[in-house]
Amino acid sequence: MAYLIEVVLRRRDYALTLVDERTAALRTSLGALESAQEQLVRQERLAAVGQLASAVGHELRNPLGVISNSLYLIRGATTDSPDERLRRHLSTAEREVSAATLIISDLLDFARAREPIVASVDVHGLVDEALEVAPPPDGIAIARDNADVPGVAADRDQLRQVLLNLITNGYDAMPEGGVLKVATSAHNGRVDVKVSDTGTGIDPETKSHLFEPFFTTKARGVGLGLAVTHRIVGAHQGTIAVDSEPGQGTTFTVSLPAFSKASTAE
Amino acid sequence: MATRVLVVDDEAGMRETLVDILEDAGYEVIAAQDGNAALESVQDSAFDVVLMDIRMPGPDGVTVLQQMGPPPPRVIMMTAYAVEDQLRRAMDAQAFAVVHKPFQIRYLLGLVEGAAGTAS
Repeated sequence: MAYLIEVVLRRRDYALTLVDERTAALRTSLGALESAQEQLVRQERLAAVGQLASAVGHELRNPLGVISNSLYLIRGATTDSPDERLRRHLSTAEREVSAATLIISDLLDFARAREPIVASVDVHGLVDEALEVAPPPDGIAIARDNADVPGVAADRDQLRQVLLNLITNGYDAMPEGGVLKVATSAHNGRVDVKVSDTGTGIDPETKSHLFEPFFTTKARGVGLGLAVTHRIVGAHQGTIAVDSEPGQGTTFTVSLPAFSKASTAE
Repeated sequence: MATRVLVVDDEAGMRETLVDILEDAGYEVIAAQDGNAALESVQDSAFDVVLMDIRMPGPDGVTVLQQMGPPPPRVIMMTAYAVEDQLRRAMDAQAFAVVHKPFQIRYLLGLVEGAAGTAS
């Protein structure tokens, strides 16, 4: 009798252990299911927001284009104007249109990354253009160090966006003024573009999040510039490195392959 | 004789500002508000360069480019929509260049000059 009771108790313990194990497994599966469902909802919401951002961004490019053309015509008509205020306000309007255009480009690239359409691009000409689109604010001087470099294998518009992001970031890092330097060099079939500022520098904690989307230390901006820059450079088989010490300024180095016939091969 | 440029864009603001900018740069400029008007213009007279929006009501810019010619004029396509297949279609249709709105006017004028210089 005692033996029978012992067997029954042992079986009951075994059954209870089994039930506990299965219950724990079920809980884990349920948790995983809930988390997957939450992720799906989050992804769908992000996709919807992305689509909306993309549609609005594209639609804004047309009116921005018209404003930009009108400012060009006004600039031409007021070249000889002695009104210093008028010229200053015109510069402000041009700078703000450029800033809005860059925000939209970053947003569109983030919402729907486009594969680069590669051709040979003259980096120095593109830097000239970026500096014309985003001229330095008062108190910031531009320094250039142009080496004899070949054309790079790049999508012109995307590389322009990279340069604009790095240049405007450099300006933002120097609220008290300073020098923004753009230098080029060539080595082993690659072209390096260094964009340096003499600004506030980046602390190690910020540096570790620098290329994350929506990470920003600025009072204004959505925090997509460097994330998009990083993505574009990667899509060009390029690299981007950052060298910075707080109070010592920052240097971003973008390294891209030089153009060759193989660059456009499918 | 001045180089003749046809500007095609359904957005009145874009069309009018481009006409003024190109006229200031010394070109003879005609404007068309959509693809059908553009096709009529190129049938009526010859143009050295066409500056045309891709997305328009009716036939889009790439379709219009395919129907122009022979020989087709040099066509610079403009777009606010940086969509990859659209860009590839424009390049496959032998567009001289594709520019994204908003563009640097100096860059655009350089392209128009380049297209005019190589026009047959």
